[in-house]
Amino acid sequence: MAQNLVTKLYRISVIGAARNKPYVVPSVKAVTYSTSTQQDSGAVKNSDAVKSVFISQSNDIFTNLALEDWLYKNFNFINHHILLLWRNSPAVVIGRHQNPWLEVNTSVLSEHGIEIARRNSGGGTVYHDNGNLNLTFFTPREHYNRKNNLQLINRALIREWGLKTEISPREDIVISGGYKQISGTAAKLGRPNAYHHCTLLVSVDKEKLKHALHKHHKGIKTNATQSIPSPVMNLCDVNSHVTVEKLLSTIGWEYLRTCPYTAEDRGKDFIMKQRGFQFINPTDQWFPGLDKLRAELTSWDWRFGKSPKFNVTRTFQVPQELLGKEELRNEELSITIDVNKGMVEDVMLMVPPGLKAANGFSGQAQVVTSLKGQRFSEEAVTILQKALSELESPEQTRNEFVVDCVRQVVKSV
Amino acid sequence: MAAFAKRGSRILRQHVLNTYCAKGKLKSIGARQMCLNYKSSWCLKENKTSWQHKRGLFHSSAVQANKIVPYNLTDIGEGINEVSIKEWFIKVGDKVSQFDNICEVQSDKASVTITSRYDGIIRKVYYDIDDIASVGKPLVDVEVEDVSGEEETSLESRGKSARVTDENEDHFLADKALATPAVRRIALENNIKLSSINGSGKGGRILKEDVLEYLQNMSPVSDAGSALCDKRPASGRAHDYTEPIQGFKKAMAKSMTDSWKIPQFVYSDEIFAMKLTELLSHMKEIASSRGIKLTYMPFFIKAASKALENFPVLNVNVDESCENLTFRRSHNIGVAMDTLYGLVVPNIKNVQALSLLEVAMELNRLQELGKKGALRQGDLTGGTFSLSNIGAIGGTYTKPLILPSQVAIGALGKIQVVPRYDQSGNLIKAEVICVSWTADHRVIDGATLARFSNTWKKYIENPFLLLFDTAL
Repeated sequence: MAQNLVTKLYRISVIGAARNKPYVVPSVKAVTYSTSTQQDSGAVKNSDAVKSVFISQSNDIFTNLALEDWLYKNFNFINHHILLLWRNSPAVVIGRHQNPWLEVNTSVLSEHGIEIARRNSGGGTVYHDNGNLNLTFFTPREHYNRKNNLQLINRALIREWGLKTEISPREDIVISGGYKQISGTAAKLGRPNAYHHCTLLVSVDKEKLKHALHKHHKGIKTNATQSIPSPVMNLCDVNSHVTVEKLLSTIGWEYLRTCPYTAEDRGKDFIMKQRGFQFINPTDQWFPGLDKLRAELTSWDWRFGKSPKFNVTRTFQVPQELLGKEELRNEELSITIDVNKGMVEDVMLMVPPGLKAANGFSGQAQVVTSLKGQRFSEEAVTILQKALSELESPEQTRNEFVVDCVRQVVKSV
Repeated sequence: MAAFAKRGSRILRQHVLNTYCAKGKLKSIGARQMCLNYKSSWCLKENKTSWQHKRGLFHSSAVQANKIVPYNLTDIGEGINEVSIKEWFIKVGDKVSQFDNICEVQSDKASVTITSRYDGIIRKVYYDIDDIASVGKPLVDVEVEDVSGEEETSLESRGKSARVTDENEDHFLADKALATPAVRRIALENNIKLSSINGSGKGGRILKEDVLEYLQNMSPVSDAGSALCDKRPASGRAHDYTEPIQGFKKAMAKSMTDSWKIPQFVYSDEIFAMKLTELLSHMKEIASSRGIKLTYMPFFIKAASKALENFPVLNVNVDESCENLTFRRSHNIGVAMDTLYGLVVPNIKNVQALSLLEVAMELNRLQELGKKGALRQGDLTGGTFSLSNIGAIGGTYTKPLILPSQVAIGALGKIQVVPRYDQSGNLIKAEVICVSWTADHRVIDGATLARFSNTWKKYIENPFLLLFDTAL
């Protein structure tokens, strides 16, 4: 039923400027086993799958991710393979099983207006901006082949600009000779579809990239996928003629002329048999359910809540004033927060003896109870502050100190 | 048994079970099914029941519960042996259907969603989040319910995506037909290559219905076929013996039931076959020198095709609701054959374009394949008209049943030597063949059939006309 919807809407979803061909909709029924009696029954492929290149007209990372997800969930790729090309305004995209607090400096990003998004495929963290081209290769599960796609890109770069590139052992594209990456790759496999997407750095702001992805040692322990940092370079640094627009069409043409099942180049004539380029306007009208997907992708629960559980530990030097007795110096307050699904599960305070008042640091329980069940964010700290401020005043300075520390924990992460 | 054929095989199984497994120790329908249809490879070693299953015999000892099947982590592709479990979508005790998401694993940079192969209840989960799972080792244990296996899928094991080249692709798709284990079993029992069946399920999956349809197309049409089907010597056994109707017989049962819905009438006639016998005796030698075995049948087939040229309404396919007639240009004439597995009706395509000898050649080919049980689906489907030479065994007049979707069929009796009067009134020794035509009375009227029969008769009585390409 989703498929029927797709077929009906796909028919009218073309907003190509010059390309308003009536598109024959891909058939709903899988035709892997041909019913034609001419060939041997159990025929392999009735014909090659046709290819299209979709170019997204949106620059919003969430919309594009939602579009990618929509195609993955709703489209039938059996006879129709698709390459989706998209660009975004500055954003950092983390992998499905990553921890955003670990990977990026969340507070820094919010200052600069850089979005954080979580994608559905695995892998590491990447930085996107308008100088970066994203490619997604959609195929049915059986025809998923990452290497072929990367070879295709290599070929395109050589063909157009004579740029020689290699595929590293980790299946990233690097410039020959040097070891600087120009692309990062990730994939998602499911039933019945699969996709492989990668980035291509054309003219990305490298300073911002470094800044956004700079990892500080943060005392976080987790099993989330950790990104492997590697040096990158822009294609425009290698060859100044490379621009995103040109790259878009180069890769598109290369995609259309490649055999759908192998990386074989079939030549220019092959392109005639394909469906060509299409501009896609990702709105809910053309892609019903897109808004819902986008809403989910923007939600805090997805972006931050989906992190695998982790705990963060910080220690703070207790200021001398707060220590009751003179003899104790250099005491440390250690705070460990366990976070699961983005919610604080548990808080552990190692309170040094000096910080305790005569009757014990009564705020301890407060700290724990008020933080538990809150989102691991600034809000939690505010709530904590409120809770502690309701205590009696002699405790106040100590409480403030503790609150401050907690705030630091949350913020610095 | 006919009642069961009408109401479905499941009722039949129940009946048989109640008869034979009445000790009541088989607790679940799933287990009973196991006894009936499935070979012991399905059964887990953990299951303490020591039954050996031979087709046709029943075991009546106890089986503990629904079977628990370990669902192995299938090959992800790209030479990956280990993945880490990132998320579970189910837990022990959850009910899953096929294609439900089970878990998300990550390998390198690929995030893979593993979907369920079975319908059932999760009984055991082998890994926790962040554990490393190995390909080929069990991921979860699923208690499979009493489903007849139709909704199971074996897709996940087809993960050869990364390494296929074009030719491997052919190989891959031809060998690894998508079908559930239950479907494979049925195909295996009937010696059908899955690659020769069109899958109508999702992703080209072959469903049980596809296999049965395939079998049905191989089903016999003549109701005299029951004589042919009975291969067992009558005095073989000492006791009463019950056997489930499976495979070809089941397809025949279904096809006959469907055929019964067609209002049919029979028109019979006598043909003088003297000239035909004479011609055949001359041509037999010539044909065999060319390696072709020539019999009466090619003549009958070719004559039928010639007659169909004048009466194209007999060469149609009608849909089930009898609302549309598809006039077929090619005369794909089916010939009822007794093969290894029972009666099938493969057809010779485009008889109108073939010469007599070519028809004979094609017939030989089909007979050879039939003997081995190696007829392909292409041979068995697409028929537009059928003939049955029951006379090769015996009989005179008969009432053949039409193959559903066709509108006519002919059955030929044996050649009898009887006294007849010729045109000048002399008593002659005549060789007579009886032919009986059955037609769909919703579409064909008596006059058309009669005229068709007369045309056919002229070709048989003057067989030299078949050697020319002239219309009468």
